[in-house]
Amino acid sequence: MSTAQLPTPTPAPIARYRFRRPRIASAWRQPLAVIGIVLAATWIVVAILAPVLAPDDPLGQNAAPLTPPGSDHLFGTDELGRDVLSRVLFGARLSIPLALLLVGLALFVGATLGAIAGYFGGLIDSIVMRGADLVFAFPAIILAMVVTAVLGPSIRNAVLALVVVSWPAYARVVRGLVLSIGQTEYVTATRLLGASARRALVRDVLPNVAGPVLVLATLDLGNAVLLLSGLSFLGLGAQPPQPEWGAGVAEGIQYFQFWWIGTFPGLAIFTVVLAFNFLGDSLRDILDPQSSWRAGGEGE
Amino acid sequence: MLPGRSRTRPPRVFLRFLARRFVALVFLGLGITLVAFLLTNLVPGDPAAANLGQRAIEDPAAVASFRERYGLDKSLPEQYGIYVWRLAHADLGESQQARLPVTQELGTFIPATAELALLSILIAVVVGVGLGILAAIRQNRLTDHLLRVLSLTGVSMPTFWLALVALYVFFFRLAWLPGTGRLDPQFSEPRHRTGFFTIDALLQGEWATAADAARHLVLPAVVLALYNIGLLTRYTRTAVLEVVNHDYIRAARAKGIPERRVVLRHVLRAALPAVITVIGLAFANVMTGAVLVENIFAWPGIGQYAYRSATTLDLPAIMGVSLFVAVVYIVVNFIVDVLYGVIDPRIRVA
Amino acid sequence: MTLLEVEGLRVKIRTEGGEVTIVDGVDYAVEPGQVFGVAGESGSGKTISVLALLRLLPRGATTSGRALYGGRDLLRLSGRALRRVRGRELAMVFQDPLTSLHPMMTIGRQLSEHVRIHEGLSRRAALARASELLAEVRIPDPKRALEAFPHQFSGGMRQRVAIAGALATRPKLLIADEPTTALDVTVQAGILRLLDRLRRESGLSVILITHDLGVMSSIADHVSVFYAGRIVESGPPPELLSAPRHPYTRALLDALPHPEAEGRGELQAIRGLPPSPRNRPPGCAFHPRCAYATEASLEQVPLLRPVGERRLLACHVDPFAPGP
Repeated sequence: MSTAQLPTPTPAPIARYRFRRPRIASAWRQPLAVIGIVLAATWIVVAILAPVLAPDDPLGQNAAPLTPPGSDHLFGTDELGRDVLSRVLFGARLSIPLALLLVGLALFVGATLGAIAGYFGGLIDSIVMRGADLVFAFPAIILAMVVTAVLGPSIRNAVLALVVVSWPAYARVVRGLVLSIGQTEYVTATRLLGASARRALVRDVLPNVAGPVLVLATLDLGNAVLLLSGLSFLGLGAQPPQPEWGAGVAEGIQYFQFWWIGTFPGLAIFTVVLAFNFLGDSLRDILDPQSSWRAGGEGE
Repeated sequence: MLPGRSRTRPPRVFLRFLARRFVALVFLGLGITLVAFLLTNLVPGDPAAANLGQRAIEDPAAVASFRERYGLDKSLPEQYGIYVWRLAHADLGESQQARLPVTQELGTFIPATAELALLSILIAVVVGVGLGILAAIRQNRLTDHLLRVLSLTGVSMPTFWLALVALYVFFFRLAWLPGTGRLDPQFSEPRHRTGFFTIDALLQGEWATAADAARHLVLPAVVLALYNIGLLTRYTRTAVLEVVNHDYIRAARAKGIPERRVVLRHVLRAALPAVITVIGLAFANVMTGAVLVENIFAWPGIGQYAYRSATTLDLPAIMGVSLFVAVVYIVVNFIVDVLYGVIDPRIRVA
Repeated sequence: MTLLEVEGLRVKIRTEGGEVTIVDGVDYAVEPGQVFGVAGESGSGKTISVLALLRLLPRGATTSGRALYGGRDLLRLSGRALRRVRGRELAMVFQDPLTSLHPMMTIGRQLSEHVRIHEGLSRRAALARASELLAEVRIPDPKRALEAFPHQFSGGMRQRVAIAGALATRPKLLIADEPTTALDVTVQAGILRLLDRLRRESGLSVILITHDLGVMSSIADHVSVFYAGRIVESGPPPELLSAPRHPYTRALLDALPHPEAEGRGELQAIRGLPPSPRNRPPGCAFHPRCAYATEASLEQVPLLRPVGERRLLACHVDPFAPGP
């Protein structure tokens, strides 16, 4: 499944990001990035235009239950006679904004704590990072499951629970970057040239933190969608009759023979996550040309 | 002049490193008990309400006796003290749902999950590392591009949906594999030795039972492995590529060592620490996946137990599961540390 | 009888910006027991030109020309035959001994593995050979060294170990790519003496790549100067270094604090930068940095032609030709 516990990018090669502006042209040379952008854009449009695009009311029990996919209902209907296509389209209005919100919150909390830990060091650093270790020791979904269970199952509590389990990844990366950048020569050089600390932070530190954090956040958007829908699947997130994708898959398991009920919501999750992963992976390639072949080879 | 190296006795520096790591992990374990304890106590949910029937909840005496029975009437620090004291005596309390000692319940559920998880990780490591090496030696060619798409697909698929599709296709449509549970009803559980049905049945000489248990393992194990396969493919590729450009790999080739041996012995050995880190992560991912997959495959393991305990707010059970998960995390991390030292002599002495 | 004969060696590498010619038509010959020096600045293609011989170039590189060794063309060997030549006949030592030994394998294993593969020796016999080799390159306590890992040795010691590994199969030709560059001067001298001794005692031929002309003068029998993927001048070091004919060789010598650079009072850096392989100047590639360039230098690539005994020069102008 998913956790946010990928090996975090090592802060050591930070100098590589120095003053590098993302080259848009090379992004377009990456077919996966293009596919990711197109997929993500499509889903965002769907989320915005769902009321226009959906052929039916996602909550309306207007058709014969359990109708297989056909010309009337492209994705069929569920056990209550609701149009699956409409529910999938409306599902985008839940999952995508919530994933963005979740990653935004985790990023804010994690980056702030990480920056504080890295900047002040000492006891504060220890406390924050030991806290992060503690959270890391639990698989994300188990901790989130306990949190949502005690807060009471609802989609809002699921998001809160996932913020609790996702911030440490950002804290670690940002702390590492802050530590390594503070020591690099060009920051020292800027400071020596008389630039203020704030100016050094804005001009030199931030742009260098932005790259790795952007990659992490993009990949994490996919994770957020997976975890949120996973909690809803377990009945700890969205509550019926909300047209949530994970809950849709859970329905599909109960009405197992009627494959269309669970398949289409699952495909929706899959394509959204795939889009973010394609984007994040391509971003990593662009920002970190290490993996492409080093020209020359003279080794001198 | 040489520090030298004895094959039997690791240098004291390394032992000290391990000891430090071990102490840190023990403290982490204690921290985890505290978090698990606070989390389940500082929250608005009322365990009495969740665990007593409607009639009992209206009876103050029943509620009071419930509270007393589970120590809920004492102060929090007291409760934590009692909890840790009991923990030290391998007493995790009694679950509120089944009224059984949590240790006993864990004992029945852990082997089921362990059998599934270990098989799944084995599959993921063999396939994922293999594909990762393949992608790296075919860098920037068609195979590499295809594997990149495949591995990203693997980490993008929701496990619970994958389980549904796998069940529908291989059980419902094709009927190649059994659907849920660990054994078909006509087989009885093999006598308990390891708790792994396949191994226990083999030890017993019950071939048919062993085969059936193995068939039940295939779908959930593969579904559980897919995410980790994607992860391992991607990270093994990166790790191998970081190594292949080094002069010592060129030097091995220049010595006329066969390419296969260069990759499997020289490259892989240097890439191993990074790969082992990811295998450590795979354990965490499998625990996460187990919660979802065990629910769908009706697999009587820790994941289902965790889910049931969480939804019923069964505090002793939740803490038991948390503790078990934390112990797994600590043990896995410690093993990873030891393996670093075994593989890389620089860590051993530096 | 010539040991290795390279003719018209060309190496092109495909990069994002298109195909780039790194080595652009190189000819030379290495005699048995000879130390053949290759000199030049970074990026002049000297390393690539020898990696091409062992077919160790990265993917995306194409090689043309011929490299005859024992009647066979190294550039066209494949599979088994290539592996047999690698390590057994031709061996290589890399520039940085800190990265050219596997950090996680014992010295013994790194010295014996290919011996066992090539000669089918037992583990014990191969280790015995390895221990002899370590003694030969003057590593103290060879038996214990076999059990040690590279990080337990200093840079100079590691380079000795790397040389021992390269020589373990008694190759006829050793390619040494800047073997002393990463080392201290005192250690350098030791390594050079070692190479010289091995050459004298066992008739080993060496292709020695270095940008250090001082190193060349002390050990090489013949020197070729590379510039922008071509040889611009070659000859025996005493004459070549005391009376360079190519303006580039002369400039290199002027940039050195060495007595070989006679008659020049002060050190002089070479004007400009070596051209990138991506956009080499037409004609003589050195002309933008050359004070003596003429019309012909701008238009025509100068060919390597004999000038005097055992000396070759590629220059239209030849400004330092000895007077008649």
